[in-house]
Amino acid sequence: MIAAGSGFIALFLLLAVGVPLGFAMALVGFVGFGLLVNFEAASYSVGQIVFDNVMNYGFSVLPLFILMGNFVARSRLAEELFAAADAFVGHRRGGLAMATILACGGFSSVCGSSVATAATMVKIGLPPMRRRGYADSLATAAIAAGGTLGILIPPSTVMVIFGILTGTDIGKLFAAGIVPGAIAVLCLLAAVGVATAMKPEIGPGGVKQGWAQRLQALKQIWGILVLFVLVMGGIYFGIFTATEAAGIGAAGAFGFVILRRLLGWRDLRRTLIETARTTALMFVILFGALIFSNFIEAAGLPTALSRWITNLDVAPLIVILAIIAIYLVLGCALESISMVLLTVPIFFPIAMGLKFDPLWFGILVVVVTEISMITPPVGLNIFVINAMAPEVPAGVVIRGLVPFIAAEVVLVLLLVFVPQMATFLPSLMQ
Amino acid sequence: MAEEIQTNTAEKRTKPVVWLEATLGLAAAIVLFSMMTVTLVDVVGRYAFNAPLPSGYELIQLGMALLVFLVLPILTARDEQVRIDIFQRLLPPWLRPYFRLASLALSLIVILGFAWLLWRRGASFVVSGETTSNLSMPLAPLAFFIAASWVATAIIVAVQPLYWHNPGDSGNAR
Repeated sequence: MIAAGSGFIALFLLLAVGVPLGFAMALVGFVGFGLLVNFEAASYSVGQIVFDNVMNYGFSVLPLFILMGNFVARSRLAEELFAAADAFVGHRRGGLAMATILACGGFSSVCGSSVATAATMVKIGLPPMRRRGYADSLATAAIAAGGTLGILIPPSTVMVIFGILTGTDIGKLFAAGIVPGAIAVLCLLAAVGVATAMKPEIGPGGVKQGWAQRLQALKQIWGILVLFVLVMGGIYFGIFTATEAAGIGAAGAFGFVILRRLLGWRDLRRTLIETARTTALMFVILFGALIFSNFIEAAGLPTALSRWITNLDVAPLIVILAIIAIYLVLGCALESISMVLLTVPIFFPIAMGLKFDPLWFGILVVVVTEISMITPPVGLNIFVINAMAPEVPAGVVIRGLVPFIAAEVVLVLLLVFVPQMATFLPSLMQ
Repeated sequence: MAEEIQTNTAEKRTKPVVWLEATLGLAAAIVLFSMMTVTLVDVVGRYAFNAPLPSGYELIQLGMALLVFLVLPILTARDEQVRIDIFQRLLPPWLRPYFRLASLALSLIVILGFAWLLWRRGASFVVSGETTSNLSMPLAPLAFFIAASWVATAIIVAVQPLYWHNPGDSGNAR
């Protein structure tokens, strides 16, 4: 316990100095493991972790799904989604914010990243909301919160990492995310409803569109539907694996941008390099986190923690609520991928020891990770908004996010008390 | 920052970054596009012609390793590694360059450590003669390639201070 504790202190010191997260975790993990076991073993395991993980076939799902999302972002499919959602709900009070959330939900069904979803929707959702006189707080918060759907509605990079870390089937995790994802959309819509009911002036209504226009707009979104059905249908019915689905999804999205003549050579190269960079970024954190968890495991932290919790003799529900509370606190300070990488090796065995469903636990982790993306000071989606709409102070975005954070907490509680939300769909798969 | 944020603002790219993207970046782009194509051909071949691509699995594995380690130097040259920078923002400006140098030195140690350990792994593959199971590709060159990528990254980190135009700035302060 003392070893693990000093490890965490050393890690925080390195981070405070400004050492990149992946390197800091690797350094502490290597030195810690070396001191606890021996440096020969530590050296061997670092080489093995880097080599074996970069050669892990399962991880290739990451760049391919990221690539799919990046192609989709260039395909104007998101604009069409927003237009369709706008045609149905845009005239209501807060309607454009609701349309933004619906479009985020649709976009998330073909994109596995929250940051990409938020970044895409800023460009599409923010200008119309401004034109209609929406308050910046509601407009930006709807995008930041809607963006978090990216990792809950499959495909999802966080689910992939959780799946590989814990040996949980990624296809089943994706299936488990569908219903909670849909309910998350409803929760976020309700948050817009509540916020605008309290202060109607932040989201004025507009002119209602006729059914002819609505159906016209709806026809435009077939592209997203085709991609989603292709990818998720293929996984769900066991036609191909998650990795294959990612490759096919990326190829499909590539086909779209080519058919629409939206991609020149330069754009193609940029999109590919961007995707490669994002992948490598995740891998550096992944190497660091795996080396660090090796040390934490050698220090006996997960076992000690598990034993301690079992001896406490409290209801499993209390343990889960405590884990959620820890996640909410950690989520304020940690970036999402590293939070998952650092905590899952510790919490997953505890949850399994208490006989919880691994898929359910995975979805729970994803939802609390979603919350971490919109809680200050380290909320990735707040940064995205800040980078793309720098004229809106972060404080305004954060104030606008309060009802959305509340909505996500409601979602967490729903998931805790109705676990079937996550487990029902995958239980139907072979 | 775990992921790329596509901002509207024009990218500021230093000369080395432009050069690296034109070489290693282009190579990585080709690798990624091939991975996508290989997967597609594999699945279509399996269902449409009952003939999956032989060794598609291994090609993807190889592609992953190439992809990640071709762009690692670019990532570093762009200073995109994820940092938790809430602490640095609290520092008085005159202290920031010292912290930045310290973080650079520590990073350099880690990167050279990675290079050394991957080199050793490559050397052990040479001795054991280990290969991939299907295509019988020797693993040693791949491990040496990964080690070389870390060495390139180390060089980039070492010359980074030359490109610090604004000494008060604390790196990728996001």
